[in-house]
Amino acid sequence: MIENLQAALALVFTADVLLAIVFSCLFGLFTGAMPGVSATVAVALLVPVTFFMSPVAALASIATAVAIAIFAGDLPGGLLRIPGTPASAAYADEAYAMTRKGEGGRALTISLACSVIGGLVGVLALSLSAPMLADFALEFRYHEYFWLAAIGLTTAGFVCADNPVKGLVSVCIGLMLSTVGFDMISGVPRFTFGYFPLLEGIHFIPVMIGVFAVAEVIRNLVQPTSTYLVEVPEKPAAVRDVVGTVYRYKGKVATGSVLGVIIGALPGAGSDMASWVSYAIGKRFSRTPEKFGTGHPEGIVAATSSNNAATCSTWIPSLVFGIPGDSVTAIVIGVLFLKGLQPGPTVFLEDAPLVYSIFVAFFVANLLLIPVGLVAIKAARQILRIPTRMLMPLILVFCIVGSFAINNSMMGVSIILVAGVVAFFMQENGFPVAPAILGMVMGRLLEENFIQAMIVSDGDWLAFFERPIAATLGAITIAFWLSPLVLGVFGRAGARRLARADRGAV
Amino acid sequence: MRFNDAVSGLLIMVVSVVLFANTFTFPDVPGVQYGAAIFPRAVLTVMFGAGAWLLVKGLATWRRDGWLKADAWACRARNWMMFALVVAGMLFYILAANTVGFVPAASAIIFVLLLAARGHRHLLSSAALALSFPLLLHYAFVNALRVPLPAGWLGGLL
Repeated sequence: MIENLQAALALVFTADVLLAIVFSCLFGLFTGAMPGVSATVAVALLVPVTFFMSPVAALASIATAVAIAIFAGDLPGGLLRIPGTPASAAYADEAYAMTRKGEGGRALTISLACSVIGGLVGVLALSLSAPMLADFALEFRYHEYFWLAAIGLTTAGFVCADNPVKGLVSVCIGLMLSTVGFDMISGVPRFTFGYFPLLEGIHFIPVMIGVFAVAEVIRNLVQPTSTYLVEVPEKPAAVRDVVGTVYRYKGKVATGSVLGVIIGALPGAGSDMASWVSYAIGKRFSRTPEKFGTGHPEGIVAATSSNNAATCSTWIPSLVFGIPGDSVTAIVIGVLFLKGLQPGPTVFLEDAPLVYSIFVAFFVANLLLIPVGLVAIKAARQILRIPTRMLMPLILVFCIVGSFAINNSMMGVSIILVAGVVAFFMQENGFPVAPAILGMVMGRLLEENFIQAMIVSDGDWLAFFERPIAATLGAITIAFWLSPLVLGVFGRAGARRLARADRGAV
Repeated sequence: MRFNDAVSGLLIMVVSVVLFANTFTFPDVPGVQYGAAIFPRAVLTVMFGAGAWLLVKGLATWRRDGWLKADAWACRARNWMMFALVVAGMLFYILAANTVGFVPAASAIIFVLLLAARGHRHLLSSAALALSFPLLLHYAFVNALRVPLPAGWLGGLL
């Protein structure tokens, strides 16, 4: 481990990687602070540029941009009541209420301190658990990988949507997109409809840019939101005040960070969910729950440390199993493939310094967050004065250039157009789009492991439950699949019982 | 703009059936026991089932909700014009960029969208942004990243 860490330090502390980290830091800060440009959109916009970087610089850039963007999302959340990223939504009301009381700078500085603590706890969890899990995952074969991919897709479909059936449809769309082009096993072309460029398959990056960035541009232009900036001068709070507040709520910060690590590590969950759960648990176990929502720092500390911790731990399933933890890590897996790396336990054997360089990059990004965050709090008012509608046409042109740059053809631009329009209407109709991206990234993995498992076991379906780990994972997956049915039946039975009790009372 | 789930469900079912039928065109490869069609067919079966579920659920609320529920933004012609401008801008780039070049095409897209979004009051700043941002991108991508963006009319100048 020490040798790998030393090699990683040597890889990260080079001029080009440090330059990439500083650039990504500023990029993440700006994009995260812009309402309507989430951390996922920030990464989607960054990917075409990482295309031209070394693998270490590319991954360090993405890690930095995400870590910074998640904090930057708190700036419009606190000052405009519009969370810059969905991960800041849970405590945006709380921070805004503090701003209305003239404590906006204090709210943001407390948020910054807790974000750094959460981020560092997340990095620690990632760097300690991922190599250990990778050793364990070396035992995995086709059946285990099939079930792992199935669990990831199932949770993604169920968690992201209000209606799990719509989440399932979104996953299926992603899986079908992954089947376009030559079949990897038989070499047969599929769903190309005689169109030659489709033989190579549909490139993941333009779809991702279209789904996340172009759809967001359309939404911001057709549904402009009015913002109201509270006119109170903001400056970071005094160090003693912030340290005192964090110390007073140290239990909440610790719980939030640990919850963030655990929730982030679940495939398909992520930092948004982590911050909502931490906020809810923080309120449930607070001595003063009545103060939540009135501008109370306790309502901020747990959730904000949680989302930054989760930002790091979402990389655990992605690096160890090749199963993305959320939409950002789905993009990361795509980038790893582009750089010729196969995410999974073997990457820890073959490219260990590269994996450790991600841990180092996250660590550097979280430390960098302290000075950058303090400057950002001072400059927040100026950043937020830039109207979103002015930014959107520029982002659209950046998307066009980025999609063109992948293979220097108009095919990429055509894909972002179609993907953007389809994603816009899907979201309008309650279909989540992140599961489609997860499905597209994991489609090949799922199909290859399924077919290989069938060939190895000579078509015996029971082989999917023969090995203990495969059987456990299979049981968990099937329990997930059946859960809506079981909950529906119990829900109806409960409703009938209540109705009978009501009739009896009358 | 929310369609009744029955409409989405029906669309999903039709697409699933069409794609399922297409899997029968995949040739059989001798010696390959589990062919190229098995995985797409499994996914399409699940997709068809999900579509049927949405259709049934949607039909149950059809009388109450109707087939389309227009949100506030969808009732304003201006918002649809913005939508059309984004799509038209991208189509314009796909069709014309190779002839006119990246900078003129991107400038035109940005200028028109900024004008539509911010109004005529900001004409000068919109024009400045529309001119400077594509030039900046052109410099970054062509000179620094070596991406051959379409040169077009300004090929000799840039």
